Amino acid sequence: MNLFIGGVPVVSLPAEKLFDIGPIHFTNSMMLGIIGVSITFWLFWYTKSKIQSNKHTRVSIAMLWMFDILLGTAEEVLGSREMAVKLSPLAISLFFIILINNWLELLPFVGPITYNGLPLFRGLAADLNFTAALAIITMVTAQIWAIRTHGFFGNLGRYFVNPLKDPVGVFTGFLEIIAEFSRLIALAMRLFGNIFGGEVLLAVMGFITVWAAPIALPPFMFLELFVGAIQAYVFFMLTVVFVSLGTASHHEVASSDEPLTLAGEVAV
Amino acid sequence: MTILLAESSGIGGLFTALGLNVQSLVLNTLAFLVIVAVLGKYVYPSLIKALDAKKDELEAAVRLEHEAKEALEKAGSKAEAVIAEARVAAGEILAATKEAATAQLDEARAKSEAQATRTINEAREQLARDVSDARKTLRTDTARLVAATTETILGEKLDGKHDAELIDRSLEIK
Repeated sequence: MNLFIGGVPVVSLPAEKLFDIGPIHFTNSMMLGIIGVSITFWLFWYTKSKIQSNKHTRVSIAMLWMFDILLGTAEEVLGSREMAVKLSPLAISLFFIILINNWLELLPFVGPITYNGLPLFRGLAADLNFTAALAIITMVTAQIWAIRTHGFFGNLGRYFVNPLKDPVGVFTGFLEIIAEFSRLIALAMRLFGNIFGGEVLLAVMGFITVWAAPIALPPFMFLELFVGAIQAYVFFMLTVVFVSLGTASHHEVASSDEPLTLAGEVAV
Repeated sequence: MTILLAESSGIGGLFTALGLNVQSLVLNTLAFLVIVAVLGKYVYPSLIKALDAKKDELEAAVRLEHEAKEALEKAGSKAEAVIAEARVAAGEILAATKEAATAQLDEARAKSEAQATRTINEAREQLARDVSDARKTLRTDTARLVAATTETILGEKLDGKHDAELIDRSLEIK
């Protein structure tokens, strides 16, 4: 992405297409994504094998520790261990894949290595298609869980209220529909914006500092490590919160004085 | 710095400019769902099982610790009761012993006092007897000495009769 043309960094907002395999366009973000997903799979399989052989290493202990924390957080938010276990494949996978890909994009080979004049690798979360896909999966999952909890018409009751019974409810229901779409867009854009912005920041700082870049860039790289971890956790947390809001009873949500998700989103 | 945007036109221009396209979106969605399915089926159950086992172990350890603490508290209170009982018994024994010792001491003191008094009295009696005997002996010896002296002066043997005559004579002279 941070290709230099004529000595000036060039930032491409969409991921660049590298080649086609049949009808599939392979982009540079997918290339790094494949590596990131492979590392994620390896880490999980490694941890699983170490658990089964009961020969733990630092890596397996760290993975299990993080998994435990995330599962515990989900359990706390959802209020049920069973629900947390059911949601963990989505929520915890989201966290690890986002985290590992966010950190991978800080490695030196991302950017400089080119293929047909285009960078071969690009941060996976710096591709809006990926973040939008995650956001859509999250919001659809939240709706499916809400329907399973309240039933199809019960879930519709969150958005559509009889105006004769509750005139204010009509307005709040309308706002709730808007909120669902805004959450989806915010989820996708927040992650994309943070990671893409980080890449641009590093490219610009490298361009500005020129030969002093080896000294000037590390602080920003540490910042990006931090941002990458925070964004992964935020995405995980919001996924759990949205599912929790969908499965909470209407009364609980209506009586809550604190607009949890909106406040959370604004705070982030 | 140059920012490259994808070619955009029409209503969907923004999405296109941001690089959003349906094919890539679907591909990313399907890929992620596959990842979730594989991890959820083959990996997470093992991790959750391990965590549950660890949690059970921890809970068992906590329960054992709680039980041990309770047992310790019970043993502690039992020990305190035993110690208190022992203290009372020791106190009683000490008091009884002291009482017995005092009684024995008093008895011994009384006995020794009686013995001493008796010894003193016997000594006094003996002394009185000895003094009396000495006086008798002295009187006898003195009388003998007087008689012997008188015999020597008079040049005659004195006996009771003669002695009485001498006494009478000396009374008549006076």
